[in-house]
Amino acid sequence: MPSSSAPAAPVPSTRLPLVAGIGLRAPHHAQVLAERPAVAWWEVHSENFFSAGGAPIEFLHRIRQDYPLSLHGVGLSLGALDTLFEAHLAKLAALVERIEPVSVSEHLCWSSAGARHFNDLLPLPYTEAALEQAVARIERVQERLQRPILVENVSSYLQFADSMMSEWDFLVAVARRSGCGILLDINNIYVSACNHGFSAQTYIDAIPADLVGELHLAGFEACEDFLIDTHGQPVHSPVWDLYEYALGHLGAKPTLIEWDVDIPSLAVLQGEAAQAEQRLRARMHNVSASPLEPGHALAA
Amino acid sequence: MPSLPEVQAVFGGALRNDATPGHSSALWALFAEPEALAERRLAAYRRNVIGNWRSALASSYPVLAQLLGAQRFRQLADRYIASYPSRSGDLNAYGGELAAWLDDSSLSNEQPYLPDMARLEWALLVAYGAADAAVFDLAALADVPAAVQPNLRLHVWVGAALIESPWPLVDIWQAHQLAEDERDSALAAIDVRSPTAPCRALVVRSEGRVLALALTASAAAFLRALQSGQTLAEAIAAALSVDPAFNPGATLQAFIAQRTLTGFSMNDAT
Repeated sequence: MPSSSAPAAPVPSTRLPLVAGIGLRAPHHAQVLAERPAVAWWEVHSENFFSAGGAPIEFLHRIRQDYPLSLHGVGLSLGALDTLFEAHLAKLAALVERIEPVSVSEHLCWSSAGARHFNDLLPLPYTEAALEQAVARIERVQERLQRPILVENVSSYLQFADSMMSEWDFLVAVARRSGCGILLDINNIYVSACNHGFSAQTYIDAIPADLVGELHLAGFEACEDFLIDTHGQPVHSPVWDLYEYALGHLGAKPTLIEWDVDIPSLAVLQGEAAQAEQRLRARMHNVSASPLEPGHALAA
Repeated sequence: MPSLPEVQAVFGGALRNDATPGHSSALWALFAEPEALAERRLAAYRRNVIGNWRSALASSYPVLAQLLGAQRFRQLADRYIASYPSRSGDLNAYGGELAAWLDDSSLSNEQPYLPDMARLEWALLVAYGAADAAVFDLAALADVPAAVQPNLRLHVWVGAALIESPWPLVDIWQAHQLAEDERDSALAAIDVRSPTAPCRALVVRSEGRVLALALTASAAAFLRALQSGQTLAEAIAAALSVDPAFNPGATLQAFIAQRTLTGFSMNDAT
C-alpha cells in the first residue's frame, strides 16, 4: 500500500506472555481444572463459550483466574456482507466483557453470505472492495469491544482470478488501515505457499514485526496434490523451519500450538509447546547476544 | 468482474451443492486455477463444510445417532443439511430444527419416537448453556402472608423444558447414558416401539450437568401452568384436575431443590 495512506492507530503490544501457549479444547477441560498443568497461556474458540451460563462459562472463569487467556473467534466472517454479523458480535462482546481475556483474535476470511453461514474459513479475493469490507468490519469490532484485535491469515486451496494484490500485501493493508494487529499463522503460510506456489519467506519478509502480536503453529495433511490445514497432526518439520525463519524476521512472539481434530493427550501438546519454547528462547538469547536488527540477523 | 457479495453467493452456493454444470461458468470464472484443479479444491472445501455440519449434528444428537446407527444417522444428517442452511457463526447452534423436520420425515415411520427424542436432546443442549438459575429464596416465600400466597407467580428456570411424548423418552435417554454393555440390556427392557403410558420429560441442570427426569401427569400439569404464567392457585387447580391426590408442597419442594423454580413475584395483575 502507498505509504501516504492515513496513519493507523498504533497497535498496542499484546499482553500475551512471550512464551508458547496451547489451544485448549473440550477433551482436556476436566484434566486442566484438576491438575492445573504448567502451561504458560491458553487460547479457546470464542464461540464455544457463547452460552448464557452453565458449565462452559464456569470453566472459563476458573481458567481465567489461573492463566492468561486468549479468545480466538471462528465465526465473525470479517470479509463478508451477511446479516448475521451484529448478532454474532454482540455475543462476542458479552463474552469479552465477562471474561476480560488478554487477547481477542479472529480470521481474515469470509464465512457467510446473506443470512447463511458456512462455518468455515473461506479465502477472500484480494481486491480493494474486500479490503474495505474487512477494514470496516474490523473497525466495527474494535469499536464494539473497545480494544484492538488480532487478525489471522487463513490457509487456502483456491485463489481468485480478480485478486489485485498478494495475500501478504492485503493482510498488512488491513492491519494498517484498521489498526488491528496480526496473528500470523506459520502453518497456514506454509500450506498456502505450497498450494499456490509462492514463497513462504517472501510472505514473512513482507510482514512488519511491530504489527504481529501472536504466531500460530499446527499440523497439515496432504490431500491428493495439495495440502489441507487440518490441525490434526504434530507441527511438521518444514513448518518448524519456517517458524525459525519467522522468529528471525519478527523477533520472539507469543506462539500457540493448535490441535483441533484427533486431539492427543495434553502431554503431547505440551511437548509441541516445549519445542516452540526452545526456539523462542534461542531467538531471545540471540537478540541479547547480537546488536543486529532482527531482519539483519536473519540475513546473516 | 463480480462484486464481493456476488463472489460469495456463487462460492457459497457451490459449497452447499454439488458443482453441477448448471452454475459452472460463473463459478469457475471466479478462480485463478484451471477448472479441473479448481473443482478438486472446491470439493475439499465442500467436504470440510459438510463435515463440520455433520459433526455438529452428531455432537448435539448423540442418542439419536446411537438409535439410528452411524450410517443412517449420516444419511439423516445429509438430508437435513441439504434443507437447512446454518444461520449462525456458532457451529454449536446448528441443528435446532431437526425435531420439526423429523416430524415430517419418512425416516420417522420406522422409529416414530425419533422426533421427540430430537426435541429432548435439543432441549438438553439449550439447558446446558442456559443462564444460571437463581437460588429460590425460601425465607422470602415464608414471609408472604398466607392469604397472598395463592396469587403468587412462580418463576420457572429459563433452561427448563417439559417434553410430553407418547413414547418412553426418559427411559430410552437414560439407557443411552449407560456404558455400551449395560445399555443394550436396558434398552431390551424398554418397549420402544409401541406407545406406552405418556412420558413427560423434564430437562434440568445440576452442577453443570443436564438430565432428563420423568414427571407425573399432575406435576407436569402444575409446571405447564406455571410456565404459562398462571398463579400458584391456578397451577395447583390444574394439577388437581389431573390427579386429586396431587401434593403441592412436595412437588414445590422437589422443583425448588432441582432449581426448576427460581423465584416468585406477587400477582400485581388486575
